Amino acid sequence: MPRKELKEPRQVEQWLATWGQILHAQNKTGELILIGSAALLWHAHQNNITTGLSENSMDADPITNDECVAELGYAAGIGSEFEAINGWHINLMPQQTLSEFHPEWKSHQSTKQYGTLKVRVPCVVHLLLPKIKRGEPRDMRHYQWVRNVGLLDGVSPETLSLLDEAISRQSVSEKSE
Amino acid sequence: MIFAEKIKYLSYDDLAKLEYGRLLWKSARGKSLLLNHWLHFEHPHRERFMEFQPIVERVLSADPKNDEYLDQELEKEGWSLRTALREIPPIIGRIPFR
Repeated sequence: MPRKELKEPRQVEQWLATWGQILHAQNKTGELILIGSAALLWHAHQNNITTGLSENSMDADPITNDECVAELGYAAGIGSEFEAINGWHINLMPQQTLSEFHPEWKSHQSTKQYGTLKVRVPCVVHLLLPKIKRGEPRDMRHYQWVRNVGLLDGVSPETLSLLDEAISRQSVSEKSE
Repeated sequence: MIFAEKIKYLSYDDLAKLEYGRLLWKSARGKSLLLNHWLHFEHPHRERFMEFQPIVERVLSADPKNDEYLDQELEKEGWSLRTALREIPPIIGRIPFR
């Protein structure tokens, strides 16, 4: 049974910093795109939010085109030493996952350098849209967590309306079931 | 079924296995890491991998741009890209990947 101890924003930051150091020590450069609940935690840390997720996650979901990053990901899967130490694992996601994202996600992404690792993260709203579309209880709890910790504060009304539309579509779809 | 339709039915797990398998397969180091892992005596799929190793290597070596052609060729042999990639073994966390 995979462990499910990814909860705190600092855990994601620490993980990325470690990978950045490892790649730097190996004299390699790499890039990854972070999505899912780990990406929401990343945003929380960048905004000095320390409140943990309302429901723990068991993994972080990076996407990469770089062999050196993929190698690190494969060494950190379910049952690995990484999971034994951290209490969660890495789940490499295919590029196809990005087709679920808003077509303009790249224009609103954040980037941060950790050593020789460049991390790209879609904005909070764009991260939430696929979750709301799925509508699973855990995804909706993460949406509530985002609202409660203030990660939507300062987001433009135009961008927020994307979330409102998604919620509305999700409600209609639930009722029709 | 046309290829684009078939691909739609691949799970993210399947797509990830194919994509990252191919990514690592491109280099001698990556290929070595994968083979050492899959042929490790503790890997539960070792025997099965050895049986279907040629087809796994063929899929991993192929250019993704030619996947539709690969799928057609595999079908002539009783396979498909979908069934062939199912023979790519998983990465087992308790077996170190290095």
